[in-house]
Amino acid sequence: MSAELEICSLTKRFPSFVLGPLDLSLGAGISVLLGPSGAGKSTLIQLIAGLLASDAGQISLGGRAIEKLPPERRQVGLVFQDGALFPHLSVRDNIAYGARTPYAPIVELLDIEQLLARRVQGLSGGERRLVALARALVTQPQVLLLDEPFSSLDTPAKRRLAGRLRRTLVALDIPIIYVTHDHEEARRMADRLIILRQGQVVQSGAFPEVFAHPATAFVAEFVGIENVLSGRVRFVEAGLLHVEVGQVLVQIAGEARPGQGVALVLHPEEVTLHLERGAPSSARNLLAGVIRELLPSGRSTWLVQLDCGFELAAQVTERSRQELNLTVGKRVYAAFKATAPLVVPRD
Amino acid sequence: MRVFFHERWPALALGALLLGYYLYPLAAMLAATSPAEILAALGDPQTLSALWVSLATATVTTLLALLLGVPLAWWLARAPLPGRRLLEALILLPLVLPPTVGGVALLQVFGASSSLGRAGASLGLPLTRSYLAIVLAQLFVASPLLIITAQAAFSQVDRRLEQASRTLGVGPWQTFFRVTLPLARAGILAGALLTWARALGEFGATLMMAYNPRTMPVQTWVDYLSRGLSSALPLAVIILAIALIAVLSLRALAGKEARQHER
Repeated sequence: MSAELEICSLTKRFPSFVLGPLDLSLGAGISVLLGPSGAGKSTLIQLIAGLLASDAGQISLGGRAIEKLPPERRQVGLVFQDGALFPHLSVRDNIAYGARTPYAPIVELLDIEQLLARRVQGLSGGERRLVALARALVTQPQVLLLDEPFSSLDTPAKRRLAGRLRRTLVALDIPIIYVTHDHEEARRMADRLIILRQGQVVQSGAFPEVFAHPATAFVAEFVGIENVLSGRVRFVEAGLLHVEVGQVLVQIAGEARPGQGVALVLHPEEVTLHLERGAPSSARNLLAGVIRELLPSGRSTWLVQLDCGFELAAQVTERSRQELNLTVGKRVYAAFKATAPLVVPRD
Repeated sequence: MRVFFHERWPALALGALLLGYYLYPLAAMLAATSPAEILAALGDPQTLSALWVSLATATVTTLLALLLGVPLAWWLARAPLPGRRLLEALILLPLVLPPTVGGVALLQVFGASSSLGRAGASLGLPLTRSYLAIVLAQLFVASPLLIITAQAAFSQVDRRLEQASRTLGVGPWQTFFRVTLPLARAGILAGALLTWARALGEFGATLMMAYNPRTMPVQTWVDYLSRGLSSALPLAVIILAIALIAVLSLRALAGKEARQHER
């Protein structure tokens, strides 16, 4: 049974920024802390590690209050952005630096035996991350914090590392906070997502759950949903909101008052494309538009960027693209049901 | 951007004038001294005594400066700004003051008629005209070099490395000795070498605090006054040789430090 990390009313004030008060309770598994630069991600990490003193609140680890302890007594492991390896020590001496347990099994697990005798100056970015992780793991931390471990790595290096890293982390069975501002990385790594904005948690939960039900427009944009449309409710009729987006009125099922500003979160796979107005359909919204861009979004799917008076993205298969002969500049109709978009606060 | 030779030569020409000005007198001094004269000087008990006094006092001064200066340098490298600027200015003061002014100030405190001077003398530790007096003079004049150099070396140590050490379960003292000090070591050694060389060459404050026992610079001066320029030459050449070794060691250390900090 691993120790839980409990954070209660944690607050840190800077002259131009306040983090918290934050409340979090984290069990074993990877919690990805996602947020833009300046959201307070690194501050939170440093507070937990004891590198910054909090102004108020408690941090406890397995019931043990740690917020007043110096970093060396917290048993909180931290992997810095670029590894922060000691340049005057070999890879082996870096890993052995704070070891409380023999390092051989962890070195083997991470498959870095061949690096042990090397100087840290010669390591690649990915190798540095792995050595830094090994160095933290051999101290037997009860919580592990990873501060943007993939920043400044190229995509192939990220891919190669991600699987190995995730398997290693999951096997640890301790709470892990993984900081990133990249939603793709978050999707790949997260058991749980915590979204931070301006020093506050705006939403947390499993990635699919947050992706399906983002709490705000900010969250929807940040987890990478293409269509986050800003609009205003004109009137409500027969239980449907008539929302003005750009110059266009769309009909949406949802709760809001007339005059209220809202954001519509619409997954692009909910939008269908048609060449003609055609027969009546159950889709309440049929919008004329022009294709502005076609982007491959997978092996056999395309993201079609439309201008319908506002920007709208639709996902189509390669086959549909060929059958409808979709090209840039072509005029098409985009359809979606009134129930497809999620109505969220605009923040 | 590539800089062509013809764009650089005015800088080189002006610099060459200055370099020539450094080298010519030293070369002339060497040319005027024969190896036999230097050997003869090294056989002279007075010269040997001065050489010993200089080497011994400069070494003790350097060790004292290390002991007291390194912690201060570390503190300065990590201190909040307002207090730091003031201290930095204070540390520069002995460097920019004429050493004779340092001598006057030191005599005021340690002189035979001062209370400290009398106390020292009564304990059998004369604070003037003694080895200790020479060390006091050298420490005043030369130790700022160590502090400044070591502070720069500490400032170059990435603080995240110290933080990493702490999160790995290592306390602040051990972190200092296992991370900070090793990474700043080359810079600190360079500072120590500069301090040693400056202490070895100290003349003004030393002359006022201790005409005897005589250091090399004082002996050179005495030789010049009593027996003329030519008799001061061999000693001057010996000092030049020691300084040259110190400067070359310093360059070697600087190279080592640069390699240490490359990533």
